[in-house]
Amino acid sequence: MLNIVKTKIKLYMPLIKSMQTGLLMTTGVAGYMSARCPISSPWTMVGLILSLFLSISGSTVLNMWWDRDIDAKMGRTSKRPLVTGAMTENEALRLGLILSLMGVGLAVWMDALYGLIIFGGIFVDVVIYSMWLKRKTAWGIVWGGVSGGMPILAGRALGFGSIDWIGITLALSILFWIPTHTLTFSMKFFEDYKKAGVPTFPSTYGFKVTRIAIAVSSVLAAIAIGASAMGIGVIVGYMRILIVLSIGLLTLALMSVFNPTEKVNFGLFKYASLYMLGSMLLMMI
Amino acid sequence: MKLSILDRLLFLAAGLLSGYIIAFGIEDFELPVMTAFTISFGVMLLASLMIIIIGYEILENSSVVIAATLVPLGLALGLVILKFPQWFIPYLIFALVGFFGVVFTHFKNNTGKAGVITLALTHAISGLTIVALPIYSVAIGQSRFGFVYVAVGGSLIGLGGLLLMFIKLKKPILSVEIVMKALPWILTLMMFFFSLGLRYAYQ
Repeated sequence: MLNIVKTKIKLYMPLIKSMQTGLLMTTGVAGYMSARCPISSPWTMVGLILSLFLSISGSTVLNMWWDRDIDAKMGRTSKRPLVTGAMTENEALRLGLILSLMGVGLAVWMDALYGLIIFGGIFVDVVIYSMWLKRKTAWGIVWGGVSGGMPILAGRALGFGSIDWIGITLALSILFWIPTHTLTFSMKFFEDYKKAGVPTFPSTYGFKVTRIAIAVSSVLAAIAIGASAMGIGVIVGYMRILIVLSIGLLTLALMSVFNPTEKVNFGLFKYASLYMLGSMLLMMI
Repeated sequence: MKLSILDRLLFLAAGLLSGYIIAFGIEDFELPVMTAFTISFGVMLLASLMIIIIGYEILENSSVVIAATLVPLGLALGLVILKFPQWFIPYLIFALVGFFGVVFTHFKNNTGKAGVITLALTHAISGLTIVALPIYSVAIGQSRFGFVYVAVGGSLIGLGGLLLMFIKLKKPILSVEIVMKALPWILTLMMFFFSLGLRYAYQ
């Protein structure tokens, strides 16, 4: 029995994208803690983490289920369990639906507004982004960004009791941060996406425009994070670090515009994740 | 040259120490001092993170020479304002002239003799300030003895800067491998001594 569980977990792990899920969960927890710090109810915290994990993992699995034909055409994703046949399509669909339903169910049980935002996030991610727009337009990533901003908005709404301007600014910071992350990725794996027929910014508008878009969205993300941090009342010392980290993001974005190299582009991709994680930690503590 | 896990951990430690100084180590200082130190330690924080992410290749970028100038200049300027505010304006003029001199002579790697002299002069004066000022301040009883640790950090920054500069000038004192192995240790120790020394800035 234990071996079966172990095997299943090993099989399911690549479907969950642990790094991405972990990062989005961190934003959700940061949103909550921006309104409720120190934590007064450990059970709410446990519920928050669990519901975020289930719903984010669920939507990721559903995306992989839907995109299995694209994944098969791209070298980067061709080893995923749905492509190799290690897992059947139905099993993946069932897993995605069960995780999503459990996540939304728990979220609604905790708080109706929180549950609604979590449901909205899954709907936008799976239906609007993956099923409808991803294969039609390069601008689909905007909707991917909207869904990415939902965990932090939901966390903030759970902690604060309603949707306030800080929650919206926090969600905007994720929305603007996501292009820094995904557009850099789409440049690195340009050929893969082209082979799969997925329209991306580099394939539609060229590399130069994509790099400028990354730089602009980095500026907007830094402004949104700064405004949120001021609204939350982050201590001056942390604000100084936030400014320094934002300057780092802008520097790398400008370097990728004026002096682009493979290393700088992928450095920006990695730094963007680190920047978001660092910003969230600063807003949590 | 590839970074080992130990190298990465040391750069992370240097970055965290820089972050600690920015967040908590300079809170009691006046705004101009705080700004100068934030610039200096901010560059250190970003440099540590970018070396971890991109590797030593980032050091080959032409803008690194310009950014690296901000570290000793910001620190030296902050120390001067902190301990000898009457020298604030002359030192600020020196810092601005030195910085823009380096920017002008190193933009797009257009380095000639003027570039080398500007860089060497700016680093030498600011480096000497970081080493000599804390010692002098302690000697005249203006600061507690622990402030000398800033001078120790200053010596390390000078050592690291010299080793890198000779490599850049293609006249290395030590082999590139040895310098790159020593660099994470130098940076971490340097940040440790700065964070320690700044706690003793006041009597």
